[in-house]
Amino acid sequence: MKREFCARLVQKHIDQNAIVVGAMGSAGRTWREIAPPHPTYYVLDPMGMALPMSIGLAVAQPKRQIVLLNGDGDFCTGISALLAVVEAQPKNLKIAVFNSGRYESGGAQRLPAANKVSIAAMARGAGLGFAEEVSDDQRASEVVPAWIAFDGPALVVFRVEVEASPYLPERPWAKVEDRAMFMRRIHGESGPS
Amino acid sequence: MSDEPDRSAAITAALKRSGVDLVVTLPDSWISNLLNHLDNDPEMTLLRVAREEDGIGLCAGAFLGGRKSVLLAQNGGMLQSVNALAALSYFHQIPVVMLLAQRGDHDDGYFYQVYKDRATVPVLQALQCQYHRVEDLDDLHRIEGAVRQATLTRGPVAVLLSRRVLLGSA
Repeated sequence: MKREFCARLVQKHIDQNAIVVGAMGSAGRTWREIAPPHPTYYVLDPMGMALPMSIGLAVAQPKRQIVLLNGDGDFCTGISALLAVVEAQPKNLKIAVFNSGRYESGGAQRLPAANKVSIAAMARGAGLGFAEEVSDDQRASEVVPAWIAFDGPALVVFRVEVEASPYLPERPWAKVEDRAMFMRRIHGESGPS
Repeated sequence: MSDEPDRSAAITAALKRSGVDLVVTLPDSWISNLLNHLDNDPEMTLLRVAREEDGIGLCAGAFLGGRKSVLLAQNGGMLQSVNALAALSYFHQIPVVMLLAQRGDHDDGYFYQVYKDRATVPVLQALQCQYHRVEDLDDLHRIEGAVRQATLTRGPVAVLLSRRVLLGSA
């Protein structure tokens, strides 16, 4: 599967007022490229923080859907946070992992155990109630609605092709400026209540 | 009846006065009483993580969502989280308050804890992370100050908790 197909499929099925977290690397970059209207916080850097930050967002904003688009490299760096997902049980947290087996923006080097590990099986083993892996467009189109509809935190793994992931030019906004704009968008001018 | 004050209740009250209702934790024996207290307080949410760095991220995400939280752990957990703390300080500029049992200090009797005390303050200084010592119950206002300071500075602040403030003379 292509990353862009998966990102567009996610966009099609999530809530209109969902908050999205885009992880570093090609998963978040693909989301930025399709330019969805949802408020999105891009967690780059550091590696491994996208999942725990998404849990915190989900716990603080229980009435809004929080959708994380993560790459397998970043996800595995913070994989201990799977236990925190199971512990906190934020029903509104939906996790998508783009699984190419490569650190695509890190020179396309492969992940450890890349050809053997099943991220979905690890998530199920951690106690997550919904963790499915899909490797073709048809199956992905069937599973994504179920992933969103599941009554609890849920994870879908997209087995995607290795694609080029060139560095984009630096954006005009510093991260803290992006953060302020993101927070104003979700909390309004007066800030969090 | 013991004359010993309820230290866990006093620390919890300081958190509530600070507007904190979410505590993210990885345990240490010195904070175990406090964790039991927090777990039984219906006004507080206690979330357990398997790695302190996850707790830093969780607190940062809660801030994005508009909720005040603290990480409650031992100082070794801060040492484990340095990359995340540096990113929050210099890049995202997100306030995170860490309440850290200051293991390895003069009041700790174990060789294997000593390195943590030796490394904690130099590492916090390297991160330009402000820190405050809470030696006993009279110092609990520093928890409120730390929460305020983190918000104002948009960065991590550490509160170093002594054995005495957590466990008294026990």
